[in-house]
Amino acid sequence: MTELPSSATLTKLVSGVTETMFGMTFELAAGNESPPWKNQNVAWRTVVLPITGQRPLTVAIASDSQGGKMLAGEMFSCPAEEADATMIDDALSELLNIIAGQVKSSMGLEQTLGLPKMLESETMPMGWHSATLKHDESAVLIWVALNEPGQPGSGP
Amino acid sequence: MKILIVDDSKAMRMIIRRTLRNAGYDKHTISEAGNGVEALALVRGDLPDLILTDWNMPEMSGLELMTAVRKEATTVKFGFITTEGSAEKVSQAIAGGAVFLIAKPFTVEDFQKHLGGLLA
Repeated sequence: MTELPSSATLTKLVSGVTETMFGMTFELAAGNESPPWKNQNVAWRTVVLPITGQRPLTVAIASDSQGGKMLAGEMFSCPAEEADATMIDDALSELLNIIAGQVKSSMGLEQTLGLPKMLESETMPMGWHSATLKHDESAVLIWVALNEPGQPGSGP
Repeated sequence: MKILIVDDSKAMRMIIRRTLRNAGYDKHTISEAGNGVEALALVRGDLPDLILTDWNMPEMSGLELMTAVRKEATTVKFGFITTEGSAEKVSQAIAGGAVFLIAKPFTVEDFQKHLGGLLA
């Protein structure tokens, strides 16, 4: 059975998507093993998307306010400060949709992508196979994660 | 030519518009719909020449939209712009009458390759 993509592979997949779509690249952030919101009193927006079929997976992406505004600004072609919550949710959902497609292809899965769903902050996923990414040297972070039910380290 | 973009993401509809413009196809009339049901209502009011649709959408999928439009108007050309870019999905789309399938993420060159014959 194909293993879940490593943090480095996840980074490459995400950065490949963002670079192709709007010329922005990401790299692994220092301390990427822990969810970046840990010990931070900040609101993160999180979206999850199921890949259904023989080997069910869930893919997630999260960003802090600054990261969400920056991504939405790039995708909507507007200044980041003009991006509102609806635009951020839309941008994260569509980005996750494309990333999930890349994850599916990289693992050779002939399965179906579900629809993205926003998570409330109190249900932030923990213990998932994840990577925290940063754009250049800025403080902008996004977090991408995979969950496979029944696998070691999988969340609730 | 009248083009209808169907995608549940407003951001993606904007990116598709931008990519059409950057590919040199900026002289066409473009309209948008956020899902298949909305698209079907627009098609009934003003028939487009080309529909660029996502595959996975709430309420009605792109494939269901194509089937529904085909029952009413056989002249409309369909192209899918979707993350569902597997060989199986491409075959399914073409078998249903689509002209092409562009996988997300896409480039300006992808648009020129698949849309050049229709829009140039």
